[in-house]
Amino acid sequence: MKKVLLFLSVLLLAFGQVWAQSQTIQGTVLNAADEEPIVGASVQIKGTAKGTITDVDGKFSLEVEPGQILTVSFIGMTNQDVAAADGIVVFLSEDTKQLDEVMVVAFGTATKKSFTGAASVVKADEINKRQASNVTDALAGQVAGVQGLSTSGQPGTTSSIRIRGIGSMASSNAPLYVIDGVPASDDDVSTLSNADIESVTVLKDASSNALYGARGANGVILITTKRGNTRDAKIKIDAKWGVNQRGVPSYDVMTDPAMYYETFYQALYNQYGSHDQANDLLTAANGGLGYQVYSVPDGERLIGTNGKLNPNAKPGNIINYKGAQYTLLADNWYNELFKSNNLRQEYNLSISGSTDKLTYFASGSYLDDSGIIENSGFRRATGRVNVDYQAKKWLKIGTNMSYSHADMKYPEESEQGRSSSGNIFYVSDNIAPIYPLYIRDGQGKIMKDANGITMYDFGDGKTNGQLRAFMGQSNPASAISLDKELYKKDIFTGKWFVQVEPYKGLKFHANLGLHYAGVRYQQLTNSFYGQYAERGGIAYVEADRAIALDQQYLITFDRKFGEHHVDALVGYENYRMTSSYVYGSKNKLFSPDIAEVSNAILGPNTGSATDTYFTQGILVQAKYDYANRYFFSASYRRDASSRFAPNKRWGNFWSVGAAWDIKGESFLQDVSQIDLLKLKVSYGSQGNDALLYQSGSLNNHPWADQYTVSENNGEFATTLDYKGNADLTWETSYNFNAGIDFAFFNERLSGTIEGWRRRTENMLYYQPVAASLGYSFLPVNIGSVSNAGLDLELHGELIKTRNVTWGVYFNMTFFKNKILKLAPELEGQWIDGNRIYKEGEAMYNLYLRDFAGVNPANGNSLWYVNTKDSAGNVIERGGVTETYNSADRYATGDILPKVYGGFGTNLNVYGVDLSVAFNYQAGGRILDYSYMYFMHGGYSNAGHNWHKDILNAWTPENTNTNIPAVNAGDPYTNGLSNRWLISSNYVSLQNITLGYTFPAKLTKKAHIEKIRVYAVADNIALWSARKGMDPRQGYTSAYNAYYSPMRAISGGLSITF
Amino acid sequence: MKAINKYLSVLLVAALSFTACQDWLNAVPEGATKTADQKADAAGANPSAASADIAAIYAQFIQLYAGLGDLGYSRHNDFGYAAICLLTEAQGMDFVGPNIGYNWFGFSDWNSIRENAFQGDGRSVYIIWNEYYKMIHACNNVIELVDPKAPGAMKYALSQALAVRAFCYLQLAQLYQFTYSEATLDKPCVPIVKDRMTGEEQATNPRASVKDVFALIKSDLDYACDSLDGYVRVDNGSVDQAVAFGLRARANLVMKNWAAAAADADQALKLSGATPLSIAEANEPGFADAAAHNVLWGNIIVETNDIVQTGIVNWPSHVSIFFTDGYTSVGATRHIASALYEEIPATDVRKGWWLNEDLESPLLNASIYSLQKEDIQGNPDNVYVNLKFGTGDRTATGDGAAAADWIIMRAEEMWLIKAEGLAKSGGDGASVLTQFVKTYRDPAFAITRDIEDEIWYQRRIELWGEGFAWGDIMRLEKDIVRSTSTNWPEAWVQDVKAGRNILLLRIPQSEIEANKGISDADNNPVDPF
Repeated sequence: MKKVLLFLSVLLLAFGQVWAQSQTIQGTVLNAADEEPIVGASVQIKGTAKGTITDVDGKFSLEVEPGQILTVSFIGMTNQDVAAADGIVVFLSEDTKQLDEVMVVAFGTATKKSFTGAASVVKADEINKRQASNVTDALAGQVAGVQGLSTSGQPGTTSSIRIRGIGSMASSNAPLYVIDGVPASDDDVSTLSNADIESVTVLKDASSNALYGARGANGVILITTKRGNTRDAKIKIDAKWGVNQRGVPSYDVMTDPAMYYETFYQALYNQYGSHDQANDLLTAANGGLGYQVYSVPDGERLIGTNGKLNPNAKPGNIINYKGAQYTLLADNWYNELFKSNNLRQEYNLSISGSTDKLTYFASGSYLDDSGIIENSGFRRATGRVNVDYQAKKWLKIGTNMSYSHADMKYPEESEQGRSSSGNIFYVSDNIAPIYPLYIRDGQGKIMKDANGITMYDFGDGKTNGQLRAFMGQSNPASAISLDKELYKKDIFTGKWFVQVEPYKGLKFHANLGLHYAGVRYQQLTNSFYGQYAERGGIAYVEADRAIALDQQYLITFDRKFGEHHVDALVGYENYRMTSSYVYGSKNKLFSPDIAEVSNAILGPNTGSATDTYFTQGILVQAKYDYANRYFFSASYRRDASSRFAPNKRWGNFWSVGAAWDIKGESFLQDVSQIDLLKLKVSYGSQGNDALLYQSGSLNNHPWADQYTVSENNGEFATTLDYKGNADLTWETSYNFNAGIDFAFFNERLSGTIEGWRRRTENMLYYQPVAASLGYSFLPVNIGSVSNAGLDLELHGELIKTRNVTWGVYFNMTFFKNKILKLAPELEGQWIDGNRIYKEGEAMYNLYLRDFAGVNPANGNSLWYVNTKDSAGNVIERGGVTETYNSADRYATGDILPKVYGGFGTNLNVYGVDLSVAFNYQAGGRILDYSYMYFMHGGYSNAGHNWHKDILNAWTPENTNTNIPAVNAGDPYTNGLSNRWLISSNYVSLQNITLGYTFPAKLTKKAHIEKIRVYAVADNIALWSARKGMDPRQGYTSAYNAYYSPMRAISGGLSITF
Repeated sequence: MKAINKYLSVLLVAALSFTACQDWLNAVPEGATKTADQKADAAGANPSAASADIAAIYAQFIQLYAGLGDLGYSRHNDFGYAAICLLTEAQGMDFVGPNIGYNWFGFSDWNSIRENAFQGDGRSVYIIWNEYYKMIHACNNVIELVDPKAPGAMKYALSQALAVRAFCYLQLAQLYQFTYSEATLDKPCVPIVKDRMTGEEQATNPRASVKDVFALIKSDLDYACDSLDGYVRVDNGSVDQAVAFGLRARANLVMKNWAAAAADADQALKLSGATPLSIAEANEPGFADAAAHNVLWGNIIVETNDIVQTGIVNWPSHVSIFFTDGYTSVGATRHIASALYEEIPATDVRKGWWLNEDLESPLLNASIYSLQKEDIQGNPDNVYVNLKFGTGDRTATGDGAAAADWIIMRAEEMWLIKAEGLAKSGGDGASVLTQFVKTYRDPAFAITRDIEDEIWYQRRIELWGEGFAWGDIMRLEKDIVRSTSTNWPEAWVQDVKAGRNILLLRIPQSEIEANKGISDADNNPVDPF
């Protein structure tokens, strides 16, 4: 009230003063984009307190003195200064200035200028372009320092995001997600509709995320949902329809049955040296392939002495088994197993607006993202409402609630990266091209069983007497059509806040955040075919419940005293997460398709458990700036985590930061080419308590020895399951960041360059202990790792006219990761399987045998060995051996990419918009397991497909090759070595969007503010070192046993009223 | 002023929640996982929880993913002691598996199983090492809890732990060094992990000599044999005095204390009252019930056990042809080597434990499994497949069938030890052997071989698949001959002469990395096939 009175009195005063010379002028304020009037724009006489606002027609009238300048401003528009004149028309255009851009930061907002830390913002526009069902998929490549790994293309799953390197060895490297100020889970993120997102801020350094002390060590991703901001209600409708396709092709594997038989023959021939024996074994069940899918005339062999298929062989072999005839015919499993029709549809609707005291936003969305294989897909319906209400001048309350229901059909075997028979991706890529998918009768017709179900060939000998050497007794096609695996998720997130401002600048905040996730998982393994058919099928149901409550009580003080600006915060936060599950299963199903436990009668198996995680902390932050030029910030947080023993719970985290707005200095005042030049530096520490089990799941009690209670014939048995360590405490990261934010040439070129170093101390780490102790690892805080790098973000506006704009962006992150210290017992080095950890060297350093090529004399693989000179000194790689087990292993050096990032462009020409986005990484290597398996020599791998490269294997005629002879007697033809390391460089075309927005003049007549039609394609292409190899899967290895990433192509329409 | 009230109340709420939170910080898991504190608390309140530490020893025998689970691996040949038995059997010459895509127990290729890096079949070596030392850890846990002078139940607990610990070291000793003899006494065997070792001792724990390992085995078993007097167990799942004697009989056999071995075996038979299966009883699939009258000790496996719940990660899945849901039904079947099979006379009931060349066996006719006869005989790959091992519930499929006990010690073995001990100590072992075989297996039996070979041959037949073959090959220093059989997969026809270094498993790389007492140079030598 005071404010209004003050304003009115100033107005009155001004009115009195200009009584004599005044002249009344009239003018209009229009939006430059559509030439529509701007309502409520402020028109002020520069240098005075006198002004007015525009009416509903954008008109204003004001008494001015001659020569006075008017400043016209409106929220979200660039201010304009114009000479006062009667009848003037002022065009305001949308404000794209970054200087005063307000960004969401930890526990509040800050202007970009005053911010001392490292943070990048991705705005709604960029996110909404992407069709990713999950916002995490849209982040990589958009922001420097952010790397996305996605092992799975299953719709609805979350990418793993890594911010500025890998700081931990045994604890989580995942960033903290915070949605509207409340810590969020992966589930929350995956059920968030992209259309509801206003912006995503990635906090990368200590001064930006130290306030999240407990969990901020791996960076923080702040997601802000939309709010209402227009006086007039805004209604937005967006709909798109499209298709999903496999985004990464298969490896270049054999598809010709003859080629496969010939190669396997060669492998057997090289083993036994006998033409007859090789032919006999070729289609034998034991050690051979089984299945002869060619018919050859009686008395002739399938493979001739020249190693080629008998020219008289014909595809399709009719066999007799138990009095019936069957045809054995090779199928192309890939073509049969992958769906051709994969509709993707998405609808979003929102309404938002604001009044003096109230802002509101409500939205609903529906997404149906079908998978590229049967029985996989993601459907989600989300509703969100948020309302803020200024109840009293000193009291503001608000809420933001969302409910989401998702159905996820999720054949999980496809997710595990397992070489399992249930993994359709693995099987279709890896099965030799000779095997039938279906059972065919003597006429070659695909058979149906008594239930009318298509009969698939399980390779178990039961129907046609044929035993398949690869994944016998299984058929993923049958499993995928008859089995069920689905999740039903109900997720509610709510935030409520009260904000009291008893005194100007002083505010008390109470924020309550609630997350509830109810997940019901159902799995049905069918009763007709496959492993559990004999048991009558199995139904398994699991209900998970996770509830998290976040409470924040904050006091903030924000006040300007002349040139001094103080912004302080004191607060308390706690977070409690309780997760529980109950599961049950029974076998012998009554109705074959109902995945409920009570639908079955035998073998009940049940269990349940609850686990809790709690953390609390006090936080303090002070920000100060002088003359809006020198900025200082400091923060401190003291946190306790239930994951540590009582005396080790508390950790102290802090940060300091400073920024200097050089442009604000008088010497740059007049350099018009420079719009922003800001120097910033920060240092601080954050904690990590997220130690993982070896299996990768979170360990909530790593400090305690953990036993499992099991049954031993009616009595309790408590076996040690996990050796804990009561001395365990916080892993701490020390983060240094220094950078320059700049904008030149009227903001046509802007960007940030930052150098950073992140040193993780007291690493939560599994110290290997001798397995003879009865356990293999002990969690300890020891050792340290550093990640250092350089982030660069550039935005350029190459063309900027009223009707044509063309922008480009580019970002890159160089980084290097190094182990500084390991546990002293390790004496500087630890070999863990195929990895070697050495002080002073990179964390991702493989320890492999060194492939030395092929012995041209006999086709055997050679590996390097160490030798000794006469003085007994070891000479590394001094010799070679043909014996795999005698070969020495060597460190490969750092295999992580040296640089990664993204680039792209946006073009707008008379309403047509086009944007293209690429991601890339370079300078790294990756172990290509798929290729390794595809290059076997036949040993123990009968029926496993080959990469066509094997055709260049050594033979007496082809001795100049790097591929050893195929030999079914040699287990090491494809023995693990650095031979399988390949460059992990890639460029991926992530997104293309093409749209057209109808001219506002046309649409306004239909009371439509905006109509845009568009086409969008995501995940379009990947260029990597080998066809089929996707380096985005992980840091160390690629393996094609995961749900293949999907390409999505859609057309859509969005309308704003 | 209202505003002041508002924010005061906000502060109040904050203060309240702060105090409530101190309790929340002490969060504990609620479910099957127990912290050490929870375990101790429960033991105070619940007498049967107190005995859970002893039960833990036996539970470790049948633990799912016992060897590699805590490394994050779930390997399907990692289901406890039975899996180790199958792995070691596969190294020998009588236990043949096909070379197919599911070679979980294709532990027959000499080169690949001699890897000590954690990769490929090398992982199976880790399973053996880790599982035995986990069992030892569980034993040491109990040993540390108990005052050696305590009477009654505590003494029995201690004795059981010592006996099982001795059992583990005896098994390990025969895998990592050549058999106990004058020549090997000072050779390195395996590190001894005992109760109450300091961290320093644990971290620098060298391979103990064969002499020291056997001294520990002996002293642990001596204590157990004495102190288990009077202990009455609830079932055959735990070690009682008879079992302790049986274990000491085994140890004495390896240590060539022939007379003592015979005496201990005899004592085990007397104390237990166990008797061999009759000819009629042996004419059926079985070896899946620890309560049978021939059993002294077995792992009791019930439907709720994890290994059963997995459906396929248990021994019936890998061994029993009657188990229809597991690996045997996808062709990963277990066969007797043809050379051994051919030596079995037709009059021996055990000839029926395997299908002959014509896929016939009387066992199949007499069996309650006759319903499966057609399927089993319908598959030509089932020549020489074993019918010896049945399943749990004979009428059930699935969990019921997989809930099959694993037999660790039975009367027949004690008879054979007694015969060998007597024969080699100048006693009348021959007649003990003849009596045993004629009465229980082959009425037409007469000794036709040298007595040591005759007993070894009887052990190979009688104990086939039960985890004894490797110990006998090492103990008797026999060559491994696969080439005389017709049914070994081509890739694994690899004969090995006694005494070659390749016979010794290599200590896992991880142990060498973490245990400063053992260096690469201390490992068993690489001896490629």
